[in-house]
Amino acid sequence: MVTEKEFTDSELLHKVAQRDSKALESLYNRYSALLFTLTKRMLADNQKAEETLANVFLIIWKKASFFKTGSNNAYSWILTLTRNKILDTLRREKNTISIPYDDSYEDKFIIPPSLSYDDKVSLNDIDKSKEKITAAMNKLTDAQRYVIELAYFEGLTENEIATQLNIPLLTVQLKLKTAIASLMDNFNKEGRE
Amino acid sequence: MSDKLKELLTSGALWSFELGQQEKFIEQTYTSGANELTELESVQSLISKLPLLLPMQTPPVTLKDTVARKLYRYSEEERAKRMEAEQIISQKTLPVKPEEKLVLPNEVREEIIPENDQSPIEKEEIIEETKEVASVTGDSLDFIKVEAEEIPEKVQPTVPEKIEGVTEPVVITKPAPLKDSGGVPLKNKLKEFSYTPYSEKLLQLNSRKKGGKLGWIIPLLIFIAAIVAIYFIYNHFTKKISVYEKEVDRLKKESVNTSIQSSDDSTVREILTSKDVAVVNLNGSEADRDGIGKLILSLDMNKAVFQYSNMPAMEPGKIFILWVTEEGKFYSMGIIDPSLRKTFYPVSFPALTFRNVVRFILTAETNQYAKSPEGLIYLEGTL
Repeated sequence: MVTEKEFTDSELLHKVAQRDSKALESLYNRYSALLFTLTKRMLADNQKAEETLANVFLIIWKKASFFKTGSNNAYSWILTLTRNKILDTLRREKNTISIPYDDSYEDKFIIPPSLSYDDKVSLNDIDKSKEKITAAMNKLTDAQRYVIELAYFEGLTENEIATQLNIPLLTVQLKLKTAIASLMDNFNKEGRE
Repeated sequence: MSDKLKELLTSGALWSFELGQQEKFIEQTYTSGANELTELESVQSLISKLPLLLPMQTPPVTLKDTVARKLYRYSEEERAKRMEAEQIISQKTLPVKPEEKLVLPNEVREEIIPENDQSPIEKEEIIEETKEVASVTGDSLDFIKVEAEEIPEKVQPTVPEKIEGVTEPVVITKPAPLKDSGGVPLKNKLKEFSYTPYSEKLLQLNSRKKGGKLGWIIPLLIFIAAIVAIYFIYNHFTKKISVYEKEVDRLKKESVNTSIQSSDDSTVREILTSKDVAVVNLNGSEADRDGIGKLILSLDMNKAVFQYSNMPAMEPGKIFILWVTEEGKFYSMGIIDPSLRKTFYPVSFPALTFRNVVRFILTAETNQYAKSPEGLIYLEGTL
């Protein structure tokens, strides 16, 4: 007999779209630790992290049907959705987002597009991915790591990074692009090595 | 792909744009070519692995409860919305409005009546026009005048008591049609006729007319009776349907409660069949002496269920939280929501050292995220 634990993340997400609460529970069991780690790192507050993450699972329950049939990258979809929701929380606290949070806003800015990119990453083989991304990150320069840290984990916009580092906006954009491109190269090389 | 485009894709994937720029980016990229989308997807896939760099943290045990509560509230809201929508639909389709009399607005009436007919028609005007026609055609209109003629007095005919002079030879000379189809001589038939005065005939006719009116009234009464009967039958069935709908709702709730109960029962069974089981009695504190609580713990599975009774009604805006404390540290075991009316409340049980006395308390809190007990203690017990 096939149990819930044997389903892939994407299969579980498709089952959630069909209102399968057991599938959502399985996704919660798989992802809650990783998502809580990211949420707490970005919001730096236990209570806010807990509240935001609860909302993330509610969004997954409501909008899992946005995850395209046949898509096989639930990991990226869930992580991107979670980070978008955290960024929204952060920016609303700073009053940099003033438009009301409603369904159409959520569909546009929080729900990531259902991608056809098949990276086949799931939490089952996370250790392999962890090793690869750590090695790829270690090969970056300190400046590149710092700019990724500010943009990804601190959730700063390019304008905010430019103000914080006192450098022109164009330089920030160039540095970000270079850092991500190098990270991608390193990551892909790690896969071949 | 140009460097500028790569920059845009990186910024978009990281959402390091301001909101307006991000909106523009989403609109442009999702409608752009396959190459751009593939590049965006690969960047998003890469950066979604960045959280793996962080040291993993365990979420608090209350998070699952919070998620479950949010989902429950959402499904209740959805259900309420659905029921409201169904009610609106039924309200729109069931009642039939009585036909209203068509009252034309003034402007429409003005359009229908021709301009030359706007003034009211006077009797005198008609007479004048008639005279004019007569004068033009030269026709005399005298023929339309009807002079009153004297109506001669009605002479009541008299029927002779005996018809005299009618003899057999006279009957023979009469033509055949004087006999009826059955061959009965007319004379015999005539004997059956009697004269009825006009006034009596009129009365008979009037009575027949009245009988005719009754003939209309009866079907009308039957029709009204049928409408009344249909109305009562409809009302009866509508009431029945609403009773059945309520019953279905009640059964659905019961079924949900039963499934919750059964999952709770399986947790209890699981705990009771584990290797290391402990039972802690919690007694009422100064706040309420009557309360009793029982905590069944599986020390090897780190699972527990909590049961309580004789507790006071919960104040609005407050919740019960079950705590365990060891060596001065407090751990929340979970929220006890009396509105769920469970027999057993599954709670979490952290890994403890058991070097000292482990104390359990149930407090009423206003903040479900409280990190340590702040409200009144209702139950307490030790292990």
